Amino acid sequence: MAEISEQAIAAAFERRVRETGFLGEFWERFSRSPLAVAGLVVVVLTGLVAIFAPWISPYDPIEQNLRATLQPQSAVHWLGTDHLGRDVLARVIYGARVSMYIGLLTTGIALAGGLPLGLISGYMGGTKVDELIMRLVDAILAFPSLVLALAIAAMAGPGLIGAMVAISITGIPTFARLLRGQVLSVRENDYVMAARVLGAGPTRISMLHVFPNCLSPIIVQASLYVAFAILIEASLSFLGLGVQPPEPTWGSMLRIGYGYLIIAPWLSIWPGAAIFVLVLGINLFGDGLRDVLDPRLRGR
Amino acid sequence: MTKYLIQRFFTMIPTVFLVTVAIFAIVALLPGDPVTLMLGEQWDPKLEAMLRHDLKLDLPIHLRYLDWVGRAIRGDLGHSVRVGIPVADEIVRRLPITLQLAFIAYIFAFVIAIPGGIISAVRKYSASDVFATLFSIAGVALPNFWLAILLIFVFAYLLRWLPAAGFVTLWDDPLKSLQMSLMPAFSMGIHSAATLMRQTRSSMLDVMSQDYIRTAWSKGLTERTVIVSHALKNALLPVVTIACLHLGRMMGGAVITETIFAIPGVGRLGVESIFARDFTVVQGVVFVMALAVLFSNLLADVLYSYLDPRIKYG
Repeated sequence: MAEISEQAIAAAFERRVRETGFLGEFWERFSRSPLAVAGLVVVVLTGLVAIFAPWISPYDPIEQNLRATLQPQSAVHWLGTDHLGRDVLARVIYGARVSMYIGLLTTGIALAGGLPLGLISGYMGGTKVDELIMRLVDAILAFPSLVLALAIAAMAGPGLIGAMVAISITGIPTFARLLRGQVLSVRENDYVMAARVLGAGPTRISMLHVFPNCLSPIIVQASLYVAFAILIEASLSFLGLGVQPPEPTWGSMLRIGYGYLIIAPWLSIWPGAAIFVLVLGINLFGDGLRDVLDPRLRGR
Repeated sequence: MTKYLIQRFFTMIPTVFLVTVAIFAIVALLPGDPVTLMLGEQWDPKLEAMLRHDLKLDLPIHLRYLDWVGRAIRGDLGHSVRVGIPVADEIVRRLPITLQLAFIAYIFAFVIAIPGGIISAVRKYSASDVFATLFSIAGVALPNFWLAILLIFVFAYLLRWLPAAGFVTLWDDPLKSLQMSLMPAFSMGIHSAATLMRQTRSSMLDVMSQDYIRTAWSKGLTERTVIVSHALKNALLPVVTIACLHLGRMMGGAVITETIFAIPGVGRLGVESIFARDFTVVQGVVFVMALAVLFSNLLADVLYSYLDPRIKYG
């Protein structure tokens, strides 16, 4: 009985996918959660702001105007100006570029480093190679992320590259460990055994049979890591080890703003709010993605 | 249990070894030569050679590593390159401050997360559940340094209830010390409060759907007895272990919070020494923080097996 109902569900799922296409099915499931849709809207809007910054921004973000320093919000400067008379709105808009760029690129690098390690470790589970990789991963995970990022950023020198190296390295063990766990369970499936019996080699089995079936949690984790990377970049910039002035980043704007907290609180409020809203949006989007990609919800 | 503890302790050794290698490698690669930095304008070749010898910087890197590890095992983390004081003494002096903040941060986290999570689970889909869910989503996304700045603005500047910065130790003036810890500890604990609330809610929901809870209801027990005496005990199991794993997050949070509130803890020591290129202090601080995380992982494992007698390790 259970088998029939499972087959019926699978058939219904396939029929829906045929009728609406995979994206249609995905969207239908995703759009059931208003919070996830709100998250997607925030992410897309921030992406558009980042891409079209030169066209949207009312001012040049690094152009100083010493006759209009520390101006509060007004019709001329919607979010006020900083201690050098630079427009806060323009800097918040351009700051989105750095945050999105670092968030996406460092997640990409962390995936490129972590996934091969996780795949090898999981596929060779229980061997000396697996043991060595996992001990390395444990060692890196023993450092609090921000402390490790700080130390690496200090080593690589303050700036965009240093921050990116630091955030990428911090993410590698997370992805390696996650994929290893997935591989260990997927490789026990009958279809992997069948591929092995048919004479497929370890590389072919890993890449064609195991890896694609481990992707769902990786995609979800990657989306959440983008938010984490943005927070770490902002923290590094706040401490003075991230992207250097005059390049506008939300973290460095908060660093400056903190010095003028009493006389110009808007310098602290807006960049912080931008980080909060973007990170919140990505987390909501990631949670929505998890609900859609959870295999138990796929009807099989 | 004792056998498991011993086994678990020994499995930590290779990880600790790799941690020391990683710390040493990172610090050895820090740009800027400490000797040149120390001498500044008083550069003299004889003095430089002497300093290099004293700091063992004239040795090959593997011997320097062995020397550092050998001394670290005996509790000697070297001397600060900048001010000459023993690193271990400085960390021991500052660690209680960071631990005090982390302790209060944990109290905040539990006080917010556990009642919030319980109400949220027991009154599922009510207004309080929606509020608790929104809090847990927002709390995770809130940058703690932004929260710290906002707290300073509201409570120190607008309301003038709390001091904006500084620190007094608990044994110098307990009341003032607690007062000064409130804002930093709250901003350190907010992430944990949010995640633990979510965890409490989901494990309460799991437990509440189990047969023994249905039995408790059918026996006619009061809601309070069912929730507090029957459900909560089991629901808190994963919450407590996850809370242990949050120590690393607290340590990372301390780095930023202590910098903002000018608190002389270990986190601020780490940031200051990174900027001052005081490599021995950086090594020591990062090592102690990593050890704290490893021990908190061990504690989480041990607590888990202690709290849940069904779990057997062998």
